Amino acid sequence: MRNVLLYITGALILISTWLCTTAAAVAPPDRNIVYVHVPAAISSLVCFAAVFVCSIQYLRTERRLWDFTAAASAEVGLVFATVFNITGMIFAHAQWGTWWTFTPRLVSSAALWFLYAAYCLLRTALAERYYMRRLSAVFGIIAFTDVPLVVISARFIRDIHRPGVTFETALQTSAFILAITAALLLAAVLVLMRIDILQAKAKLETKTEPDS
Amino acid sequence: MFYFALAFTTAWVIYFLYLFYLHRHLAELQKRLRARENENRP
Repeated sequence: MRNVLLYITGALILISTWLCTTAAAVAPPDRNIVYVHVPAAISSLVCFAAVFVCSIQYLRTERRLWDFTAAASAEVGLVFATVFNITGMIFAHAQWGTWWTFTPRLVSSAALWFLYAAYCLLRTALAERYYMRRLSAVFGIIAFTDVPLVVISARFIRDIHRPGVTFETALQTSAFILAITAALLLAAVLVLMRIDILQAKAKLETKTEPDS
Repeated sequence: MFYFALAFTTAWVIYFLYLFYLHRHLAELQKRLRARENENRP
């Protein structure tokens, strides 16, 4: 099952790369960034939502699989948040002539990156594993408060960042949808791989079966 | 097109860096597993 998912993800990535390159070549410059920036943004927000859900479930049930899933989702979400922040800065320079400007959307996106970087650092900082897991779960719930801010900031607050995107041709629309699907599948594959590594590490360290 | 290529390249460099990070973790786990198996061997 995992291998099938991996092959489908790889195929989708190749097809979406070709399609985005083709669609981007015919799109105006202020449009082509969406094929890289928006899928990364959506994937990161989905991962951070997963951190929120898994953190609540871990605090409720204390099953370690929820903790592993939260940790894996936070790491992968941070990777995608790095991509969407950097590609956003590249596009800001292309569109507005500056790498950065203090607007609600950009500031909340940067804050999101720092919050989840802090989450990942927190997990390595505490030696006492039980308290580390509980504290990380609480932090994961609090950090999620920035996610709705990122989503609604450009829609309800005056912002230089465009609130949405429209397409003129079916090629551009399909390239966009395929890019989002490929990014979400890539995020899922990376999270599953990371969960496997965390579980294997826990098994080696405790020398007993981990709580599942 | 230049900015799209730059963004695309940056994104994939970051994804591959993360894949490399996962690969290092896996290699470390395999090393520890082999060490454990050698310990258990009579």
